[in-house]
Amino acid sequence: MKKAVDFLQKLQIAAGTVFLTIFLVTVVFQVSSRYVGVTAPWTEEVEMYSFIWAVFMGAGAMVYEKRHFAFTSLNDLIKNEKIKRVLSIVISVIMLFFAVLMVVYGYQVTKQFWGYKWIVFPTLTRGITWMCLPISGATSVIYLIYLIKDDIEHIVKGDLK
Amino acid sequence: MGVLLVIMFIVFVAIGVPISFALGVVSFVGIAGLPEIPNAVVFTKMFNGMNSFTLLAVPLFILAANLMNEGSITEKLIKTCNSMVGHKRGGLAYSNVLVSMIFAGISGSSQADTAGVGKIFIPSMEAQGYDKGTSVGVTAASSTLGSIIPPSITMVVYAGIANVATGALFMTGLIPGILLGIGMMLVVKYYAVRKNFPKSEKVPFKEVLKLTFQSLPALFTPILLIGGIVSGVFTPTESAAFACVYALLVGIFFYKTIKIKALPGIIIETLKLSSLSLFALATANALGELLSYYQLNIYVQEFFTSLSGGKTVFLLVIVAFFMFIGTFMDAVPAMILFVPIILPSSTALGISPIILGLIIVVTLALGLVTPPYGLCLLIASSISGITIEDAFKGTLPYFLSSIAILLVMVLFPDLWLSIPAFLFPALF
Amino acid sequence: GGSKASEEKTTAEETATEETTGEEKAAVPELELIVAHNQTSLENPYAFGTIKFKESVEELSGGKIHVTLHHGTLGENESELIEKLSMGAVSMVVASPGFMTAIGVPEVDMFSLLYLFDSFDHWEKAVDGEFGDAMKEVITEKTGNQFKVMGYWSSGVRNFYGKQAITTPADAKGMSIRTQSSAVQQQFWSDCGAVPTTVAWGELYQALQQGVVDSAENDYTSFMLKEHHKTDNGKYISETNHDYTTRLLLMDGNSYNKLTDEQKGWIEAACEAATEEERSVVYKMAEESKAKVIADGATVTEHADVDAEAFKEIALPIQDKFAADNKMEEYLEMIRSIK
Ligand code: NA
Ligand code: NA
Repeated sequence: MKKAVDFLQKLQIAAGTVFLTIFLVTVVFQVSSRYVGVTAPWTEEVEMYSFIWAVFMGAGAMVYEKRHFAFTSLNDLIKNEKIKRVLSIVISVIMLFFAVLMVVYGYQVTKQFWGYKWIVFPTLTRGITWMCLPISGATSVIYLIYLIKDDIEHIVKGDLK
Repeated sequence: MGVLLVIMFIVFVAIGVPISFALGVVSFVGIAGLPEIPNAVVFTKMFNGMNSFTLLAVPLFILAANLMNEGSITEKLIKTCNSMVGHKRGGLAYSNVLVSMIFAGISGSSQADTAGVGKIFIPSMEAQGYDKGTSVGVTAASSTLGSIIPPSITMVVYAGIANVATGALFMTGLIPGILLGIGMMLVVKYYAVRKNFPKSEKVPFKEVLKLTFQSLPALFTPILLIGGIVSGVFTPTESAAFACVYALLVGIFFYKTIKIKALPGIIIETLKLSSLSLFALATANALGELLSYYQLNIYVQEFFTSLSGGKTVFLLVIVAFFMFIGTFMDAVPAMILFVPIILPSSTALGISPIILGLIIVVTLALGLVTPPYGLCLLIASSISGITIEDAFKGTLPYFLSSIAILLVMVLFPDLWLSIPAFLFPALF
Repeated sequence: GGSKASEEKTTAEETATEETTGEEKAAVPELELIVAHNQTSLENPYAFGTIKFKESVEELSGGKIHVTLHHGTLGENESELIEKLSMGAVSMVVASPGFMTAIGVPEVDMFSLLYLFDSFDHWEKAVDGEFGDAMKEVITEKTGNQFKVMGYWSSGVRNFYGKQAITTPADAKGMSIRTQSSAVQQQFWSDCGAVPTTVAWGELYQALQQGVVDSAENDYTSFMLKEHHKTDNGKYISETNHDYTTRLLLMDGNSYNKLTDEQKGWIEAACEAATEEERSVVYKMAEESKAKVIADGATVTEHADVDAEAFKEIALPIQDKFAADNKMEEYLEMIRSIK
């Protein structure tokens, strides 16, 4: 299972990197196109949506690495490894709650705005752009469940390091 | 309801739930408490809050910082500053502040500065024997200058809300930014003897000159960027893109330190830090939405219009208010929510909107090192691996020196406008 | 908040039962309305209009309808407000018609056509007459009653301002101009020989000051507030009057249908009062803003000195083509016939 979750996270980081690269290239293109005097109205939406996708993909992947900014004072105070694991589970469950909500409501708004189109590419639905919410949420759910399972296993096995 | 949410937020943050998730859950519970408002707005706001042209500059500035690190531009800059001040007691701490000031003239994002400068300074200060609190404290505190010395993302956001010229606000921030830096150096001087800070060996003058020459492309960047914005070669947001391209070109062709192979790694690093900061901003935006629906801004407006006591009291309250807001909210949603309603009362008192902007921007920049929502503090402590409490303890003296300077700014508000207006009359 | 947007629409019965448990007041509101627009300044026609709506509807209903106003605090981005309206997170919003092209109502882009109206008088006659009613029907029908037009508002008439005055299309030749993203408008400026460019509104001051763009176009109040007329490339204003703008005061038609006849009556009457207020503020502010930019040293070329016919000659074929493409010749005729 670890391998599969690791792979998922790598995939997500790769996706985020691709979106960030699209974003960077578009920004540089847009700035330079203005000096050359070319109109490129499509850049605005491409920039914005690839930027938002990059952020949500990155944020999801960082859940697995436990990199989201947090206070660790309480955790550092606790010496008992078992209690540490329990605290870790509590935190993961609270995060899981929010991640599940991201999936549920993200799916709802994606569906609701499916009929909205991009301005510059009228064939594209804006629903696609909203999909970063449920996807980021769903991947976070997977990571968190894995982290919780891992914590429980350690507690049960008594293997507390 | 309000009290319940505050308690919930404090408990979550205290037990170690990430700030972004704590903000998200609190916003959700708050919106769920309003029967007529659909819960989905929490999530649409996370998305829409980022749908802002100005925020696009955040990853660009972080990328610029990463490129400067990868291309050893930062390292050269640090070496040069060290060669100048390193032989003094507390030399690395001085040069940390100095480098942050130069970095601030390149970057418009304080987070980018913390990450960029901190990655190199924090380990090297610790290696030389500084305590972790000091190395993290100096780094976090001095990186707040990133939002005060131009360019600055928060200034661009303020200028947009308050209808002031971005260039004028930028130039107004320059002198206070430098003063804040000097203030921090004075704190270093005070502690250097007391805490027996280490010092490096004196570098021969010839070597100093050589190093300075080598780091000219870096030293020259702030002048190029600020000059470019002021004279109008590019817009403030474009300056972020320019900084990236410049750092890339200097790294590839001048120092020949950036390899094309390294680029994906740099972009991944940029992705990680940008998304951590911006996801926290997204949930802070959701909290802003909650406060809007609860009409908090109306109460704030009533409060500010009922204030008596003139300019000074008004500005003091502004500082206290945004200092408080800054503990749990990002600068961008805080300004969107409160600047429009404060502006009329401020204008009625005869306070220039540029000065109001300067005071708010400096206050919110200092909010970047106040826990719990203090991104610079969080980034710096995660680099060093110490707790946020210890990090804040280390930051406190530098934070207090900045507060002192901020108070001087509040006491003589017009002075800060007249100097830049005299120096750059075309902008005002 | 509840679980599903569709169940969220405030109905009179629901709120009435919930509100009675609240604090004791003279009249307990039976209906809560949230009204939002995207302008943060209170010195803005939208703010005056929505404030008027609140006052009117609360007075007419004797406090049975309560209104909460949001001046930019629920989003400064129009598309965000539209999304909120369709989710049921707000009851009424002010928005440009343009967004509807993205949700399958390309007909509303008709409002973006330049030189469609000759004067505010003509514009009022059209939107308050047969054409306005017909467009309301198109919008209701094509959006499945998701959007109901409660009033036609304006954000003024747009003029050209740039590094030099233009009196004929030929004067605009080769100049880069910051315009709106609507295809028909870009087409118009291209046909004049200018180069349409995109610059974020918040960065336009800088762009005009430093010569990133040669010119822009907007109504007096909008560019006066941003001080564009103080820049080198913004100080020559030519009253081309090319665009008498239309803004829509929108409600969710399905929520509207759930109201009682009495409530509908109060809201309709208040919308009428608000619309009148908004328009009169637009006209008044345009005059004041014009005086202000002249006092600031900008140069104004009056409409009488602009060869409007020459610009119209370029605009008319674009109008005809748009009407033909969208099968709207009949609507175009409604407007042209009342000149
Ligand atoms: Na800066
Ligand atoms: Na803070």
